[in-house]
Amino acid sequence: MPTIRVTFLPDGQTIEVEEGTSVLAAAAHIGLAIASPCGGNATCGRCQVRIEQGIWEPNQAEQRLLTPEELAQDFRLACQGRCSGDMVVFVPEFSRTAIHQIAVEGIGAEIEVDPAVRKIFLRLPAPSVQDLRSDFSRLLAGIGSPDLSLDSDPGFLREAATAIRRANFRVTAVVADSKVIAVEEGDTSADCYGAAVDIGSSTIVLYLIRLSTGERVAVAATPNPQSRHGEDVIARVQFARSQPDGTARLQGLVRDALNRLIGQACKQAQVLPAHIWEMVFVGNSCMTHLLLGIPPEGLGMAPYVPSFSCAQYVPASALGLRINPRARAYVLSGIAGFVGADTVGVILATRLWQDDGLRVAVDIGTNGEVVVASGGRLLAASGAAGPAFEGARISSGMPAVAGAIDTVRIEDDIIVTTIAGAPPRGICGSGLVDAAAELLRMGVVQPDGRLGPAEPGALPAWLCARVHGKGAGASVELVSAKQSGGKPVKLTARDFRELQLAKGAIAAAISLLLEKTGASYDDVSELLLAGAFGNYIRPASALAIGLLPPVPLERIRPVGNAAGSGAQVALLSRPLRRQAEEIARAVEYVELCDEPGFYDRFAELMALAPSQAVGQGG
Amino acid sequence: MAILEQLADAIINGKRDDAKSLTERALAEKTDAKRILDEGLIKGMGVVGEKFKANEFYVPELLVAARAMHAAMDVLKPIIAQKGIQPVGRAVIGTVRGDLHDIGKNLVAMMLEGAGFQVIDLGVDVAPEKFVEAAKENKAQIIAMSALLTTTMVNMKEVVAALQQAGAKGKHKVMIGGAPITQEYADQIGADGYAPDAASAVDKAKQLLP
Repeated sequence: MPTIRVTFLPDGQTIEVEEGTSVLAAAAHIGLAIASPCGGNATCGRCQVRIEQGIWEPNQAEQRLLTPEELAQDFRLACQGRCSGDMVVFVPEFSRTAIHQIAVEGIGAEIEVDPAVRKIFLRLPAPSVQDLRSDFSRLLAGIGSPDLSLDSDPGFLREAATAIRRANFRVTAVVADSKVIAVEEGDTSADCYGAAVDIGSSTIVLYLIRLSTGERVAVAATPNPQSRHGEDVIARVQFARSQPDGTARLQGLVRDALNRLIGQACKQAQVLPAHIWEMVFVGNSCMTHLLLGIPPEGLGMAPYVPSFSCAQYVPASALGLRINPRARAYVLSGIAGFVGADTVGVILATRLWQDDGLRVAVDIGTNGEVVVASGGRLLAASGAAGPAFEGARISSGMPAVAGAIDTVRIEDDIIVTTIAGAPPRGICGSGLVDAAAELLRMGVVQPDGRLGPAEPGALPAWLCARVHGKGAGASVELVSAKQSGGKPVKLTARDFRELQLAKGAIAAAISLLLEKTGASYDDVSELLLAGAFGNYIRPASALAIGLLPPVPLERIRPVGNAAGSGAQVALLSRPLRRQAEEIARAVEYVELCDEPGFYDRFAELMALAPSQAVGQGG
Repeated sequence: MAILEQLADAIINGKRDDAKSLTERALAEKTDAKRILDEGLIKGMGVVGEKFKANEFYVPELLVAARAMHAAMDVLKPIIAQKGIQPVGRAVIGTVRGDLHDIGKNLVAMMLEGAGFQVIDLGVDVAPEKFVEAAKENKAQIIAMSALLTTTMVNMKEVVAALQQAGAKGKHKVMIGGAPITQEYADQIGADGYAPDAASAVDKAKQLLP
């Protein structure tokens, strides 16, 4: 097969690939991450690159997704391009995936530090004629906990036996639950760390914790490299199914990212990876399956059933994790369907089961998980909102990276702020919710979702001038080309329809779950906003468009990366880890597709207006 | 006739009870059933489709309009059957195997009915053979399929293959839709048509009729 040389600018890297390889794949081979939310399905138009040298005729999909101006300026779509002759391709910054604004601060939960893994330094009495016990009996007695046993691995037994003698009975035992898994010479008890990891679809966050004190010594985060095969979990499930080694490749990507994070965190904290003795994981069902290398097939087809949902212990070395070779990995339980370990993490961190009152936890992301806790009963559902809140399917939508509009206010002008204060080049989820709330308030968008004033002359002239076109072609300009120094940032009529679909799904999920507990919105004592998005969304805006139910503002609390906090809690507390396993089994999962009222509720709650009381409406 | 205009309006505005009573009155006044169908129901739903295309109406408005139309249709059905009035066309519709999403599919079904089609709704998670059998049994000119996931859209290919195997590819036209579906995909799998939403699906279905 002939090979082609492709050079990527401005990085200046060149790669040789077989003729016919997609440009997106060629870039991925050299670690160049081009955004591909739809996973190469030719529906998002995000993987824009510019052909600088070489021949690249745009195909039908490119002609549909790119404007005539863009095509004339030699922009193409990386997922559609096939290398056929040496080429030079420029990858603009806005097409690269980068680290998102992420919530690395979970809620600081106060817990008693009682980790599953502990290190105990022992000065064991030497054997004598009066004390003829074997070395191992001496060791177990020295540790003293009930029901202790030794790991049955022969390598461990050899190392332990040698260590005890070489260190003259002054050794550190490493105990995981009630099993001795390592014996080290001398006093190494200070070197006992664990890592709690949240494998999000978009971002992976690792917290490095000193197990003896519970102190967090480092945090590291990175975009999830699986996203080149699709932003959402379904696209990744499809990739796993359609490629012969799909699952293995996706597992490899997350494993490599984890090892990079381990390295970064260890460097930050001046800790050796070999001092990490346990890693605890949370993530949605697809993420945890891929972590363990288990094909996520069942999740891709009705009735969307995972291969496993109970908690899993796996040797860390079996997952290729470069921490202590005798360390283990623990994956929290999932619940059902896509509602996985991350939701259990949220429940654990927020102690959702504990209060007598009615508490609701919502993760406003692609999967829109909702958990309602009422008098000890827990219900969960996935509101499958779709990726609108992550910027996909919105014409100027983008992830929460530099340049994304994240707040919008309308006074005598449309005032926006952007992430990192960079020039505005698009809008992210929190900006979209703000924009919708403000435009609704000003009468630019109607509660039924139509873009345009209710009647002519209803808007002040300056605002009216920002609205272009009518009907399906209407758009409102948030930021002009002059202000952005590039393209204007607009919201189109279709964008509001996408927003309606997304918010309708989440609002309906919350409404239905509340109804099942016999409660009304007034009964909600606390509404917790989990996930990165929860920290940045303005609750007042979310209430105004009915994305969140009409709970008083003071009862709405962002809890940041509660899933990640839950992983930390499970790492640090054996009793709470066990409790999470029991609670996960007791959560009632509601499959919204099967609920007779869901369809109607969804349609009703699509309106951009504060949600009415449960039981009323339409 | 004023009453048929009122009926069309009742449907456009989702007034279910009015739609029912107006249909009953029209029949009582000896208005021809086919006229009621054409000038009341189909006309009304036609306007609904236009408003959808113009972005004046969206999912909620389509739903209430369709409900009103169904209320009128329930009254009209026995008369239509009695008189042997033929539908504009016959379509079987369903969400493909492995997929449970039905909101989009339901909207298309409603709009097709509103355009005078007889629609046989096979529901969700429909096996390829079932599409083919139902099309044959009902002498449907159109097979309409919906899929919302990239993991399930592949099952659309299977239906086309099943049709080919049964030697029935020419007899039934296949049209597809759903969020991950594109015209290119439709061309790739040998489908006869693609529509991005419920309103344009009606246009496409009419186009595909022999």
